Amino acid sequence: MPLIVCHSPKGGEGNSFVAAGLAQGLSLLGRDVVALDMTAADGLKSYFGLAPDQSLPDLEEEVIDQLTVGGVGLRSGWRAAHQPDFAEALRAGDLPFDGETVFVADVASTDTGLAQVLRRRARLHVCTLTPTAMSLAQLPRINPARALGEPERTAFVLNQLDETRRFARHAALFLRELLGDKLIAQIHRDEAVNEAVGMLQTLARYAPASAALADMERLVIAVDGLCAGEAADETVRPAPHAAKNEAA
Amino acid sequence: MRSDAENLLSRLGQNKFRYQEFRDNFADMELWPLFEALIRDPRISGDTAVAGLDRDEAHSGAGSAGAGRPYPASAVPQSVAKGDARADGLFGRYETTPLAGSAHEDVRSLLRQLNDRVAAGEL
Repeated sequence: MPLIVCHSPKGGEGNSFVAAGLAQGLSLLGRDVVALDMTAADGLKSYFGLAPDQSLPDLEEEVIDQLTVGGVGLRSGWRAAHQPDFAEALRAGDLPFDGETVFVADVASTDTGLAQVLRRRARLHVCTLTPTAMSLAQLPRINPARALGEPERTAFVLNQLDETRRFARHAALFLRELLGDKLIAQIHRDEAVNEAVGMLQTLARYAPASAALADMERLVIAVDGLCAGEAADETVRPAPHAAKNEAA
Repeated sequence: MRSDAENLLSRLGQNKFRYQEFRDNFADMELWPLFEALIRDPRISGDTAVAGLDRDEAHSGAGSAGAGRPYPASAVPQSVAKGDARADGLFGRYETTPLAGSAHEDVRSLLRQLNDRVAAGEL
């Protein structure tokens, strides 16, 4: 399962937190994982307990000493993704998204062009939402060409859920009805997430009993299952070029 | 049981609490106009017929999510505004100012009345 794209239609939804949690969790399940920060904000590393002045090696850089935290390799894909030939390199398979290594890409909400290009090559698109009116208002922008209920490689996560708030409860209920199985997890609002970043620690180390971490575990298992299912489908389904050749 | 609740109870070291999760019933959910707007959005439903219907309704003046709301009034969330508490404030005047749409509605109403009177032979 090479590439998982984490992209939300709006900033501040916890996309980087979800990307980091997925990378850490999949690594704990025994996968070889690289967390790829494709944002200019460079914030993914904070969820790995790294300080703001710690720079990540570039995706295309030959690195002898890999930067790894808890078994997850960390790379910056920002520069590579904004090269003029990135889309072509991706199409041609020049980027390392076909091996056994799982790449979890954190893409900024505003970078919709990059998200679209990556989603075409991704095994799964993980879209993080929050139970707020402004987040729900962005729903139509996620897959504007097709209905949300149609089969697509997009899975939704409801983050920062606080059930003491009326709108949040109703939004969660509404999303469960609207998205059905596509809503694969909900993560409760948990101040421990913020505090862990403040302590320059991972959430698993700072607050191992936190509600958000337990929710993240469920999300990781769901994503692992979805990716395994997609991989099985791909072995059965002929690749588009193979189908063309057969038709010819 | 949620892990944080379980952890808290074990730290307190007592079993006098009973843990229960309360789930909202879908029927009890308040139907916010935003939810209706999303359900009717063709980019979510994929239903182009609905998109056409919405456009027609908008042209006939029956359109927008608020005006065409099919819910009973009790299902719609109560406004958090408390009476005229802010009526004297700057924003108290905000929605008392006629909106652009109201002017359209006045023109429509006038034309309708004229039409009726022509039909009745009064004009």
